[in-house]
Amino acid sequence: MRGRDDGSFVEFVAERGNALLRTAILMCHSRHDAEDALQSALEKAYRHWDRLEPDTDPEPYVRRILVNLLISRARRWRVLREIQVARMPEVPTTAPTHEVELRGTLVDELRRLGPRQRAVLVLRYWEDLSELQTAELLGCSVGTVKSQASRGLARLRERIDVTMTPMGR
Amino acid sequence: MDLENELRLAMAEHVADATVGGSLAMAVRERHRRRVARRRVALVTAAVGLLATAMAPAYQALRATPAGDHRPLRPSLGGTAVPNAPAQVQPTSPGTARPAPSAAPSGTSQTPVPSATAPATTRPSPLPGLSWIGYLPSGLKAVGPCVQQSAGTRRTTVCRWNGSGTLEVDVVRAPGLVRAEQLGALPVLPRYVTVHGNRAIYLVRPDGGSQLVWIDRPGVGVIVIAGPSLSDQLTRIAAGIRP
Repeated sequence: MRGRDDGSFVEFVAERGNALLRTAILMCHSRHDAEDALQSALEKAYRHWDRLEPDTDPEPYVRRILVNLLISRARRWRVLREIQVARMPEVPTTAPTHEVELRGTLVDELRRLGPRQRAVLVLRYWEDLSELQTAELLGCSVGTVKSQASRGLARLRERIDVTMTPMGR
Repeated sequence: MDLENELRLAMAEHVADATVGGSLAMAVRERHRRRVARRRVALVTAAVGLLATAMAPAYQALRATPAGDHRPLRPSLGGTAVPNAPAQVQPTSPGTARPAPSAAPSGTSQTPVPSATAPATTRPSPLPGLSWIGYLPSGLKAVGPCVQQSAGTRRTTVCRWNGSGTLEVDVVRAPGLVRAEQLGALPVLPRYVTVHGNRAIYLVRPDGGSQLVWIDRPGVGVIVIAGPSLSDQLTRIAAGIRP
């Protein structure tokens, strides 16, 4: 059976590149890291591109590579940052409106979550994957996805309350 | 507050302007090409390293280097006089009419005569029976006369010296003798050198001495065994032997 050709890879990147990059940005600390991770993930997928069946959607495969890569990198970076950078906790700043401030804070707090918890929230609420799809992609059980999502949201809620209360929310 | 909804909106706002460049696919393919190239280089390097490691002993074994190449003092392969040699004689093939040297080389050392008289000298004798030994280091004394041994059709002449070290020269004559391996056990990883153009097996003995074995001509083989103190002169001694 013939696999996918080189042209289909270019088409796939053109069509789904933005969505994958956005997922990567939400799971990364910087856009530069996200672009690099996306390139790495796409390169990994490209190695076996000709083995993928032409009539199947390659996106889950590529997304799985990307998410696992980002989790691995985040774990490594976390260790390195803890060793190399001792930063004071960030102080909330005022913003023109509460809504903008709230969303900015949410993204900031999202980045402070653990890599796997962050991945669950991104996949569930950005990619709109079901709990089952998220579990399959992350290679864990549905129960784990549920608990990780629940704990992640609770953590965000708690952090938002702490951050927004001084602003009279 | 609907946190899930707010989170969705926050994420959408955060990445709204994120788009990939038009050359992402090309960059990925280029990255892949570089990776393949790096991998090939690494594989080739590893393969060459492994091959070199594996082949080194075999190469060492197969390499036929001139006698004395591994020695600081290069022997005179033709058995001619070596400058400053402590003792030197003109080689004469046994049984031939090769003339004996008209005068012994200068020096105080004397010739060992492994004969019945066995004088306490260390210079090779110009006697016809031993004139095939072209060079002996100084300070050697013949243990006794050369001994003839026979086993079937094989006849062996064994000559021994000691003093500044131990030396034994065996000349083996037997019909059908064409390979050095026929003269004794072959070491696991033999080293080959050449003596008078003949392939010779060189090996280090367990006592620290060394040994050379070669076929001088069909039917005539030579074994030279030098003790540890004479190992560095083994090839020089061997080069002077013309049985």
